[in-house]
Formats: sequence, C-alpha cells, structure tokens
Amino acid sequence: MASIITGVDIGGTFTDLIYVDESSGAAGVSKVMSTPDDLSRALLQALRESSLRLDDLLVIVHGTTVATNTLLQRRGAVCGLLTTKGFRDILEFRRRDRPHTFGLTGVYEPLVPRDRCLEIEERVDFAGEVLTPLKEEDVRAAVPRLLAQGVEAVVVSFLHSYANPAHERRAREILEELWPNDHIVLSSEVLPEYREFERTSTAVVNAYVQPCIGDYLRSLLARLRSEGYRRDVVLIQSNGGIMSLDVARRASVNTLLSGPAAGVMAAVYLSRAAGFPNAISCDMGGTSFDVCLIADGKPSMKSTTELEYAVPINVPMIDITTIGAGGGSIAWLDGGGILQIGPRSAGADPGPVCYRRGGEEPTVTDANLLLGRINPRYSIASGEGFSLDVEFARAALAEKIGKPLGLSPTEAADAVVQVANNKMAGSIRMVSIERGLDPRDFTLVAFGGAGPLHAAAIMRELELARAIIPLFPGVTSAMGCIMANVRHDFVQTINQRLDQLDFARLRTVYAEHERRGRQLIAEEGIPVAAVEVLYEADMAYEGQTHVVKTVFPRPDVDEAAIRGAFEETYQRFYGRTIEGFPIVIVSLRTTVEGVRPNLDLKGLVPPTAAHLEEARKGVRQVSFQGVYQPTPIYERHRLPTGAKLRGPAVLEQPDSTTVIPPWAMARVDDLGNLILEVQP
Amino acid sequence: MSLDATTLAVLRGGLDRVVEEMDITLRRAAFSPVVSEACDMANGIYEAASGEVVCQGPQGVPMFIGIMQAATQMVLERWAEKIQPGDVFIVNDPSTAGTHLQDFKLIAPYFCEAAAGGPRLAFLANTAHWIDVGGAVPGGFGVAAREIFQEGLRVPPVKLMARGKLNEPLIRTILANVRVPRWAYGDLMAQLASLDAGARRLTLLITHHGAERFLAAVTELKRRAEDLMRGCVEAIPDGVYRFHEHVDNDGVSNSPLRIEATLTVRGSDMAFDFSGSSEQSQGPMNLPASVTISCIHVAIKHVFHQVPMNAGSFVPVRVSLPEGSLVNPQRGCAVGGYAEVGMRVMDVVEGLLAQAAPRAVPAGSASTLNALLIGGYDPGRRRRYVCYFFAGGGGGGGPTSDGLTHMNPQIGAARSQPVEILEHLYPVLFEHSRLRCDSAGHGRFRGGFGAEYAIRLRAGQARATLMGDRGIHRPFGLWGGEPGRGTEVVFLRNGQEYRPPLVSKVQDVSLQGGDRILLRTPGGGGYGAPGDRPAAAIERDRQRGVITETWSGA
Repeated sequence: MASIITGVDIGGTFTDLIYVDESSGAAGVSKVMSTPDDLSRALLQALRESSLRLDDLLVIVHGTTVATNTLLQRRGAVCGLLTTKGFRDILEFRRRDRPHTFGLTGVYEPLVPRDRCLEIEERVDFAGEVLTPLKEEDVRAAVPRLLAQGVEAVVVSFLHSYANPAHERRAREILEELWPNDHIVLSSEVLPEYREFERTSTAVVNAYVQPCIGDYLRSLLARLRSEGYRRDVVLIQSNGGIMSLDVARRASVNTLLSGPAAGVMAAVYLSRAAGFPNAISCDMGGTSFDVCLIADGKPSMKSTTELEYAVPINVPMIDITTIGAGGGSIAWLDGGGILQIGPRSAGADPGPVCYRRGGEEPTVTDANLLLGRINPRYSIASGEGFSLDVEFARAALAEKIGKPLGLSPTEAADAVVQVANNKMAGSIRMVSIERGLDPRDFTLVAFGGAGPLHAAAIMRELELARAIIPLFPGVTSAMGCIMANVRHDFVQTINQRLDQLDFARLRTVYAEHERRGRQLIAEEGIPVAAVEVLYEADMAYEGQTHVVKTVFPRPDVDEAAIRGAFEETYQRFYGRTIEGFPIVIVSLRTTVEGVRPNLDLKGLVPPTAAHLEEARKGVRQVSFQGVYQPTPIYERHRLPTGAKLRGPAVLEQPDSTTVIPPWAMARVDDLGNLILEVQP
Repeated sequence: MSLDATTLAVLRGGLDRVVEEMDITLRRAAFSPVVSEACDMANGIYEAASGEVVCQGPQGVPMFIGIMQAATQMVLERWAEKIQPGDVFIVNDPSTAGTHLQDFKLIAPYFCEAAAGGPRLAFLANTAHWIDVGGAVPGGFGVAAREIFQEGLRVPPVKLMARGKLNEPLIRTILANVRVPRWAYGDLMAQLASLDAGARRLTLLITHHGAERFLAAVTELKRRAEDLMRGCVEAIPDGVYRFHEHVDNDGVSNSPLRIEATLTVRGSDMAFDFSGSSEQSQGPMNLPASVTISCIHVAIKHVFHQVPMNAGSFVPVRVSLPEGSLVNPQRGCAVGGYAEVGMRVMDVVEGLLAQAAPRAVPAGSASTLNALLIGGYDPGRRRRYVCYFFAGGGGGGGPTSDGLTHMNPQIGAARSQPVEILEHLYPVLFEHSRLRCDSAGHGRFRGGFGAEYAIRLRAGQARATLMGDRGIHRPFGLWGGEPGRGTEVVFLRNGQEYRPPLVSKVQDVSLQGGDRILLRTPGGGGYGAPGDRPAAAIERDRQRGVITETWSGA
C-alpha cells in the first residue's frame, strides 16, 4: 500500500529529498548533487539513497527552478504577440524606465521581438464598450506570418481586455481553428487587471516558459513512469500552494518561484508547529539571502515581481525579497574604501578561496572558516567531501580587505561577517517595516546551508526574541514541498466606487472564483482535509493608482464593513485616513486553499544521545568579538530532546553548521528544532 | 568621533533604507498619477546645520537632489531658531527653491528625542509634482507666460504644520487656488505620510547606533564621496573644453536660446563657466541658479555613476553662472519651462565630458519632457480634470550599444503612465502609442527610437498645451554619428491640421470631442560614423520595421 509522501527540491547545485510514510511514521532525507543534463537522474538517485521503492510512493511534490532559469537564461519558447492596432511596441516601450537611474545607456531585448508582434484591428474602452469590432481577417492573416517565423506560442493581449475579454476569446477561437496547439495565452485569463504593459508582460512570460515547463514535466513524468512509478507528481507554485501538472502546463507563470516558495512554506509550517506563528523566513544559500515575512501563520504575498529589467510579472507570488548575500558572496572595497558584500558571488565554481579551485576573492564562507565557525573537514552533499583550506582564506582576506583597511586577517574576517549580517538584517527590517510591522515581534526561521551560521547574530542585531533552526536546514525547501496546501488565486478588476457598488456583482465574482477554485482542487485529486476561502479586495481612495489590499471576513460584506476594513488597513500603512474622499474597489481577489492533513514529522528526529555530553565531538578555537576561544563542538543530531546549552558552541550536521555565540543559548524542542535565544 | 569601517557601512545602508521607504510611501499614497505612476517626486535627508544633502531615495527624480538642498537651506536661513520639533515647512517658490510652481516641497526638521528637548539632527524633505497650481493654463505649463504671476500660486517657505498642528487656513487657501483640489490635498497627505515614515525609520537607526555615530557617518560619507569624485576627475586629462546647445525658442518669439559653457579641468577640480549663454528669456524658458547647479551635478553623475551623490561629491565642482542669463535669471521671471532648459544644461555638460572622457559618454538623447497638458470638463465623469502626459524619446547611441528606445528623460527616473489608467481617469483615447520609425540618429551605434502618440479627445471641450523642445535643435550625434529626429506635434481639429509656429511649444489650443493630437518625440543621436555600422545590424532593424530604406541611405 503506497503511503509515502515525498518532497523533492531540484536546484542548480543540489537535489534535496525528504519523505514521510503516513502509515508507519518513518521519515528521512537525502541530498545529492544535481544533474543539469537530465534533472530526473538526481531525483532517482536521491530516491535510491533513501532506499525508497517507487511502488511505495503516494505522491511526489516537486519544487523546481526550471521556469526561473528558462527566463533568466532566455532559453524559452519562440513567442508571437497579437496586440490592439497601434500598440505593437507595448513590450519594447516598457514603462519608459532606464535599467539604472544614473547612466544614460542600456540595452533591452523584449521576450518577443518586434517582427513577431502583430497588430489586430479592434478596440474596447476602459468600460468594456466595443469601439471597433474585432477584424477577424487580421487574426487569420497573422497565423501564416507567425508560423513562417517558427512561433511556438502565441499571446493575445488587447487593450482593456480585463474589462471585456470577448475579442481576445474570439481571437483564440480563430487561432485554434487554423493552428491547433496548446500554447495560446490570453492576457485576460492570465491577469484580468489594468496596466497594459504589466498584463502583457505577465502573459508573455507565461507563454515563454510554458513549453519548456511542459516538456520538462512530461519528460520527468515519463522517466518516472518508465521506472514503474504510477502515481502523481505535483508542483509547488510561486504562491506557496500545490498545483497539478495539468494546471502547471497552462499557468506556467505560476511556477517561477516554485523552489524558494517551498522553503517559505516549510518555515510557515515549522514556526506554527513550534508555537510562533509570526516569523521571518530566512534562506541563506550560496549566492543569495531570501527573506519572507510570515504574519499570523501566513506568508506575505506580492502581486508584482520583476525578475529582470523591465520584465514584470503580476501574479500573486510569495513575497520573497532576495539580496546578494550568501556563503559565496564576495567581499570587496568600493571606490570610497567602504567594505561591501555581494551581490557578486563566487558560486559553486570557482567557489570561495578556501575551496582551492582558483577563487581569489574572499567570500563570506572564507571569513567564517577563518573565524573557526566552519569545520574545514566537513562535506556538504554525500560523496562530495573535500577539505577547506584555512590558509588560503586567511591570505585572501589579508590581501583584499585587511591591508587596505588596516585590519588583521581575523579582524577583516570579523568585519566581513558583520557587514553580511547587517546587510541581511537590513533586508529583514525593510520587509517588516514596509508593512508597518516591528521585526521584534517575530521569530527568525533560519535555514539554507549558511543560515544557521548567521542566525544568532541577525537575531541580536534586530533584537528578536528567538530564532528557530530546523532539523535539516539544508533540505528545508524539500520539506516545504510536503507541507504545502493546494492553492489557487483569482483576481478580477471591477473599478467601482464603494458608495455606488453593485453588491450583487461583488458576490457573483467571489462566488465564481470560489467555484473555479473548488473545481480545480477536486480535479487535481490531491487529498485535502478542508477547503478555505480568503476574500480580499484591492482598494484605494478615488484617484490613487496604488491599492491597499483589504481582507474581508465574508463574501457578503456590507458597505460599513468594507469601509471599516479599508480604513483600518490604510491607517496601518500611512498613519492616517483621508476624510470625505470616495473609496474605490479596484479588484476583487480570492484565494481558495485546500488544506492538507497534518503530517507527523516525529519520524525525522534521529535517535539521539541520552546525555548532552555524548553528543560532544571536541573543542575548536572559534573567534567571537575578535577573540579566539576554545569552543565545544557538538553533533547536532545527537543532541537529546529538551537539551539546553549555553554559548559558545558550534553544532555540526551534514547539511549545515549552527553557531551559538557566547551571549546566546539553545535548546532542542520536541520536533527536533533548535531554538536560539539571547542569554538572560 | 571616529567610526569603524563596519559601522560606517551599516549606517550608509540604513540611510539608504530610510529614503527608499519614504519613496515607497509617497508613491503609493499619492493621488495624481504623475507621482503614483510616473514618480515625479523625490525624498531625501539633509544635514541639520548646513542643509546639505545626505542622501536621496532611488525612485525619485535625481535632479531634485540639489534643489531640495537649496529649499532646506532657505528654510534654515528664513526661520533659523524658530524651527521647532513637529514643524513642517511647505514651499514651491522658484526664486528660493528652484523648479516650477507645480513642485511642492515639504521640509521637516528631525529632532532626537524631541519630547526631552534633544537636538536637531537632520531635515527630511520631499517634493511632489502637483497636477495643477492655478494660473493661466491647466497644469501650469504656460508657454507664453512672461512673469511668474501668470504661472500659478506661489508659496514661500512657511509652516504647513507648527508643533504638530496642521495650518488648516493655509491648506484651504492653497486648495482654493488650484483646479483639482482633491488631488492636491491627497498628494499633500501622501507627502506628510512619507515624512512620518522617514522619521520613524530614522529614529530606529539613530536609537540603534547613537546620534554621535550617525552624525560622524554623515560627515565621513561626504568626505568619501568627495574623494571618489576627485579620483574620477583626476582620470580626465587637464584642459579646457567647450560646448554649446540650443533651446528651440522661448515660447513667445521664435529665436533660439543659446546655452554655452567652458569646462576647465585641473587636477581633481572641475570648473564650469556658462558665460556666453543667452540672456534670461522673456518667456518661461528660465532656470533658477540652484536648479542649474543641480542639473550639472546630475549630468556628472550620469557619467560617473559610481560616486554616491551627496554634498561631498559637489565639492570638486565649481560653477560660475552669469547673472541675468537664462541659467541664473532674476527673481520674478516665468520658469514653467525650466525642465527643458535644465535638460539642455545637462546636454552641454554631457557634451563637455564627452570630449574630456570620450569613452564614457553616449550621444545626445531626446532630452525633452514634451509635457502635454489637456485640461477641461469631462461630461461623462462630470468633473474638471487636468491630464498631464509627458513623453519618452530615444536615448543616444553609446560607446558599446545602440541607444535605448522610449527612454525617460535624463533629469528623472519618471515612468510612463499606463494608457489604460489614463483612459480610465480622463476622456481621452490613445489611437496609437508606438515606436517612431526612422527617428534614431544613424551611427556605428545608432540612437534609440522616439515615440509616436495619437491622442483623441473623446468628449467635451478642452484646452491643450505643449511645453516641449528639440523641435528645431535635435539630439546631437557624437564622433560622426548623426542627430536624431526632432519633436513634431500636429493638432487635428475638425479634420484641419494645425502645426504650432513655435514647433515644440504652444498653449491654449482649444479642442472638442473627436479632435486629435499627434505627438512625435525625438530619437537619440548616433555614436560613431554611420559607415561603420555593421550591415547585419541594419538588416535586423529593417526586418523589425524600425527603419526604412531612406534611413540607411540605401
């Protein structure tokens, strides 16, 4: 009887796997190097390492970076774009911005070049009234022109189609008649919201990644089928929810942040389970530091993301702020002699100087190594062990940072770590304060290979009460895969004043969203314990073009309830409300979430030592505040449940290292998490 | 007090965050799309005693950096010891604070532990372009204005808020003088929200690090910016360079206005002398001295982007502006076209630096806002409106790449307003918004392309004004590159074409439902000889339909 739920996060460097057997409670993890030529090979290897039989698997939940890489490396489909006559250059025009505020040069290549953007005679106005009917011959004439250019996917994006999608729909019918294919994308279906450039861009990104994601998922599934796997593979979306492969093939733009979103979902689950529903998820890997705020057990979301210059994507994604601060981030001095960290990274190749693979610029990892915080003889992924060279790290830090600043190598390493910590703390401050929230009310959840090295320092910098280090910091994203709910988001622009609101329309839109969400969840067939629906509205004072997202308790709210909810939210953001100004409801948003049954992760907690001392591996000189001091080293996974230890201490495990400075203490909770706190 | 390297880096990052948060707050809370969508605004921190700029937010208009410094210094001079905690000053008077009347500046002193009588540590300030300030023309860009009194309401630096209490009579007086009071009030509230956000954020930073460290960091950051700027200047060969440019005309009569400057580089010092520039204009094409200076600094920053922009970076740059010239006019003159003059000043600075540092500077860009104002009564929405549309044009070809198409003008980082939002707010319909074929200047690296907009008034009566430039004097090419095409505007009224005699400037063109405005914006200048452009690049442009045979000379 298949009863094992498996989460797999396939990244550029590592493939992480976690599994839980729902009937026996058995669980385990594995981490292998990724295999970029055929990503499924590493997946199968990870399954073998965990001694899992495909027959025993109930479902595989997958987090992927395929869509992101397709976009960033510009390896997507050959797309065509049909626009309203007069608006062929909608992509090339952008919002007129330059790539950088200063400097008057720049290069922009739209995802669809101009010769594949064709104009169609039609026009609808802002109220959805047809001013010029769709000229169907134009659509017919477009087909051979697109085919001649080798187009694989077509986007139809007409002005004001959010208000009236009829012309886009009719254009699709004609296209399908002449050229049946799976890759026709309508802007009004991907994003029925105003702002023509952003809507078109989002639809184009969808079309651009859709064939690649489709091919990838098809071949992944085929590989698993050929090995005898009969069950489903499902995907984590950018909004942190799960969707089926069928949905992912159509709504591919929703897979862009699949991998990072999975990490946040793990943080959501872990912080809630540990009793701290207000948390900040921090994933520090090799090149970047990803932060997401979790308020009351919900990750914050954003409705617009720009993954590269002038390519906005306006679908709800988990609001992950990424800064270039990871273990591999390079420390350097700017022209004014000020120490900077990142955003350039030494990556996996050549890697930090201490890898001795030709890296010459000191990184955060080199600094941590010199300070004694990382064990020079500890490997990361299975079978890939190599030792790190402290002397190389010392020489590079002395040469590039220490000498110019008049610091000793150790002082230089200390400065590098401090500036990195401050940079990370700064981005956390930004994401919390931006929402009017005080970071001190939050618990840090620190993961990724490098997160636990810095968690305590960031915690102190921000005056946070505590930090949680998950059991397997290095495979947390895979863990998020098996914890995520099934989720679908809907939006509809209505643009109505509150004092003239058509309440029946509001209820109809919400009801229709809910119906579609429930239907999708039913079709996907992933077991859920309950379905929850969240009703929100983008609201503003009349004239404002930016909105505040207001949450309604029910879909049948009255005017007073809507006003109250809006004013409270507005007050929180801007410190005031504006009396006597009409209020507008711009868009209605609905989230339909299938809540998955709770998983028991106790099986992941490995057999521990009976006493703290048995977990102790030795002592190493570790530098804190400029002074090396003998510091006990522990095997993280042997620490007994409930154990308490005072800093200084270093905890080692295959996928990460946790540093407990002299002023901090740690305890092991029932779920195997480490809880760091400042010593009283 | 001395600061360690780490604390300095942390405080620098912290200050950047304060102004960024102010930017976000102002933009999101603003009412007029000129601020909320186009970001015609700025937020910054200024020194407590000198009013010098510490830093400015990344989303705003760079050119305001020196202007808000001047405004803060004016508040300091006029109000001196009468500046109290909880005060907020408001000013839009160009003779003290620079730009045109539409740019309302708010300036607030920041006190440490104000309740306990702590010292003043800084000023926070912001600017927002209001959609209307009264005066002869909706939107305030009267091209034929001969004195400031025709351009709208003028507010000297006065207290909008005294010790935390809003000056309601003042607000009511201002609102009684503008055409769209609701948006003016909303934008004012957004500006206050931004100051509040900045103060909250700055308090966190100062509480954490202490006032002494904060002040030491401000001083140190200035010193380092100066050093960096000196390093950049030292890399330029010593010498004397000359360049000049023209503004099409003054909006009243059709003769060009000359802007001429000499740059003398000696060691790590630069001196700009604008002798040879035209007398101040009888129309609104005038640039108050504080803005001229600000424009010079921003133009330098476009070339030396690595230098952080604070008062320290200004030190190695000396500026001499002849009194009574259009770059240093007498008080009381009209200034509505200041932005066009300011961009021409920037073109001159770029032209000078192109000679001094040839590989660092691209050819001339479109360099005009082409501010198009349509104001009237909207019968459908039953309200008075002012629609302010400003255009993009081509960037200049650069040393390594073609110019950017449809680029925002170099004084700012302003973005375009979505057509769908403009049509939602105003009785206008865009018939097209597209790339202007053949507009780029030819060259080894061609310029970027300008735009063509066709805007139809759907209903009601309206008056239109274009405050533009570059219709006669086009974006310059460099090193053999050709100039880009110039601005063209045509009004189609009742089927009749009307081309304004001053080409790029016209006010009070009356329109009725069905009439159309066609605006074509300049392309950027080319860089390097056209003969050196690879055939493949020309072929690609042809295939994409952005050039015709005429352009390539084939």
